[in-house]
Amino acid sequence: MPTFLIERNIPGAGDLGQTQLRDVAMKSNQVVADLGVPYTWIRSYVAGDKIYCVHATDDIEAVREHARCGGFPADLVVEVSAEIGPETADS
Amino acid sequence: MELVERDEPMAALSARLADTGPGAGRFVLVAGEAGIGKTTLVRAFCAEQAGAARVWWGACDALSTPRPLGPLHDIARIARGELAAVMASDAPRHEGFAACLEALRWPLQPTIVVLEDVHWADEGTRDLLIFLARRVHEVNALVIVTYRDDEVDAEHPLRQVLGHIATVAPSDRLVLGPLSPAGVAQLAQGQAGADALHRVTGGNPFFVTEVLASPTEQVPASVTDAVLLRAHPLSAPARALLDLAAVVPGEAEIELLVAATGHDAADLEECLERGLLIAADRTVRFRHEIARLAVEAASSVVRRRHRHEAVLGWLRERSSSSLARLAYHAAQADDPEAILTFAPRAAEEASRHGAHREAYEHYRLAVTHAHLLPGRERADLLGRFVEASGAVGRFGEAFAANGDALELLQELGEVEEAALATARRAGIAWNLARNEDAHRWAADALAMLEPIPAGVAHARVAALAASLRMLARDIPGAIELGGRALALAERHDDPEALTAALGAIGAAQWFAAPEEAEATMLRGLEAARAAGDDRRVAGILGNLGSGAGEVRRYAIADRWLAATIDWAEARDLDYQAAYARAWSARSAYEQGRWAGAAELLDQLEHSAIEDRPTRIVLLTVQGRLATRRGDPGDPAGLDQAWELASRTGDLQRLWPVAAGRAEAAWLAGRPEDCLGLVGDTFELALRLGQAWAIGELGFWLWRAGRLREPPAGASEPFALQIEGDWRAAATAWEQVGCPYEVAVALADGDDPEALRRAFEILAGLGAAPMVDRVAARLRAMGVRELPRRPTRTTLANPGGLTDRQLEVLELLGQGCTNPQIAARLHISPKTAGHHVSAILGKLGVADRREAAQAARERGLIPS
Repeated sequence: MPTFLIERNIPGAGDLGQTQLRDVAMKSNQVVADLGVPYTWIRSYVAGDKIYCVHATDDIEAVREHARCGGFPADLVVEVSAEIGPETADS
Repeated sequence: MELVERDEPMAALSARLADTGPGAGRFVLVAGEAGIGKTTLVRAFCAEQAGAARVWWGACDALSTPRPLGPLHDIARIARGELAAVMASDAPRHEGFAACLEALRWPLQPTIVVLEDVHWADEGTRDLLIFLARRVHEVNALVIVTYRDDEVDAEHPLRQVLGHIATVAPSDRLVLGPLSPAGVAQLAQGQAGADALHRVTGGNPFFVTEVLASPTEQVPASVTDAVLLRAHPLSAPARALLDLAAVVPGEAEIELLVAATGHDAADLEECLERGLLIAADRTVRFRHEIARLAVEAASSVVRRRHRHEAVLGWLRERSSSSLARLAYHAAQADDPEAILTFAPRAAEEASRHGAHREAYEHYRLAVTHAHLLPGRERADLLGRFVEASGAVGRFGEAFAANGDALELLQELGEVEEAALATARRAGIAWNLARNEDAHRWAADALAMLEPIPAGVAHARVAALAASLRMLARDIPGAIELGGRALALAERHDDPEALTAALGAIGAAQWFAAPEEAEATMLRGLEAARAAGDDRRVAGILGNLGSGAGEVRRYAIADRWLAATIDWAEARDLDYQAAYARAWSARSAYEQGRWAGAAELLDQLEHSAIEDRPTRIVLLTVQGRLATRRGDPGDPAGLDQAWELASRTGDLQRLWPVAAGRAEAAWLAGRPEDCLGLVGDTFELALRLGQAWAIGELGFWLWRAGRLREPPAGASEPFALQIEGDWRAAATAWEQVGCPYEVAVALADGDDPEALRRAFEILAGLGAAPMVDRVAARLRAMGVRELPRRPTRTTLANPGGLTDRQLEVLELLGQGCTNPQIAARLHISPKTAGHHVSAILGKLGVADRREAAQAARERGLIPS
């Protein structure tokens, strides 16, 4: 299943409190459950005025649908073409 | 539809969305005639912003009696989650409103909430608009409301709602105008005759596109002709499907069209290709309501009725069909059996959603066929119509229907029901200010039940009769009857009678055994809460506050009035909230917090309250405050209050106005007028043994030289003052918490120190007429050095203008018009107008020019 990186512009994202972040996560889970297609939310990183998310699903449209239903901005959605790390140097 | 000449409104919407953020929600009202392109504009805007905001779309439908809260149901389907769960349940509508608001707090992205065609909104949806307007500033939403401004005249129920939105919410209004000749030419894409097209269509984009799509060289004379021309080339099956779709407002199920016409779904293709219908998942709808009406009206009444019958038949077989739809097609098919089946059920559903206006309309339709029902059922339907009419303030109709029901019940020998209907008659009569009739019918209802063994009916009738006695301040009568009602309600375990009885007894106890009142009313409150009766809870809370206020127990009064306002506003029970606000103003005024009272009164004046009791309290406090401040303004307020109060004949309404008018006469140096102004009301107070009323009215008779001694039963502070013990009276007033009365008592003395103290209190309050009197007495006693006069602002500002009014006055002094003032202060022109007229009244001037001049003379604004 392809992995997607999503950049979300959310002014003040870094200031969201625990309760708000919990609401966001609950909402995302709920939308994922309602989508009706294979969909995995892997991880998200809240940084400054952005949230970066890593999702896995078959179709980029599902990522956009997830954003639309949940009320998450999705300013940039790109498919991850390769994954590298320190170990890549040894391969 | 192509978007032409709409760059400006598009930019305005984008700018408003940019202003929207968490805790910075706002409204945009999009207005314009049918076909001008409101929906097209908003759809285009939402499509453009799809990445930047989530879009919730709710449409009002064109049913003569619309689905209750239809748009919120639409939105719940899009929003899913908690809101969808609440809306799908039987939860009270307040919870649906709250869930909607909660969902709009979403911090990551603003939500665009579109409420389309609200000129058709049901009452529940109008309440939702007010609910959202009051709270939109807390959430992250741009609420876009579209409506046909040419259909919303002064009588239209939406008018008040729109005014309210403009007053309480950050809001903008976009008015869409017709296209210019160049715009029409652009749509015509170079076709010849664009000028003629513009002339005939008046630049209405829908009309233009219909004409462009119609297969003719000539420009049709009307939009209807254009639509019909467009439909003309359709094949017979396609036309049959279109005609059937035309009797279904909003979305029509394809399955329905096929079943009702016997044609094939494939034949719909033609309608879609010609752009007459738009397809969604399993439904089609007309491209515009204008087109639907044009096609519908092209068929004969008989054909249309057959089509409605077919639709009704199809809907009846489906358990998911909405009751409002069923009732609509039953009415259009003119099928009495179906009307009697569905209209009352649709009414019940509507009133459960707080759509009282729609409930009333459904019942009214059903009642026209009531003669077909067996007697008992007919009486039952009439009874429900009575309640529904009462809920929308149509007491005249309620009264007539109640008469029919009563007659029927008597014929049927249903003694208990007939007695309940008679009691109801008494209640309606009270609403119609026919108080004598009310008491007579209440007594009749009780008498009717005497021969039969006591039951629930006895409890309810007695409770209602007790409430009426309480309202008339027949306190022993109210407590005695209320006690009977209470015992019966407990024995028969009837929550309705229980809350009504406790409410009546508790309210009455303020005047007989005030220590017990609060506890009794709290029991009533618990019972009402347990029964889930929000309106009754608000009523009891309000009576806790106003009852305590009337016996001058201000700490208790203020606490419960605040609780009433909170409870009622959270549930949008506007009448109860307004009444509690008016009473808060009275309490503030009596406690010498005059600026606060004035502010409250001003807010209320702008909220367009029609409720009689609220109006009376408002006018009374306004008039009395102006009298004590010596405002040069309009003295007619108290006379108007008197006229309204006289119609009720109730002591609680009459006495404060009578006292206020006597005070005004006395301050104006006409003590001889006092007897005429308070005499009758004083007699009524004596008859009912109401201490504070006897005291205050007796006081004015004493001032006028008509009484030598305190009347029996007068409240203590007044009695002391009449006896001439001004020191003790002042102390008593201090304990009660009324500074003006303290000063008035001190001013009766001959001790210069007491007079100085009175002067200080009065000057601090800004009570100009009494200040002058006390100053004159001090001077007469040879006191040279008078205490400091009131500060400049209170002297210069005798009208007691509020801060907002001073702002308006300053702009007025600069020559601003109402719209200019509105724009500068971010309020609606209507509100600006209200402020200006309040200013004219308070300054006692005839027009704006005089107001500016007077303000400069008094140094209120720079000259």
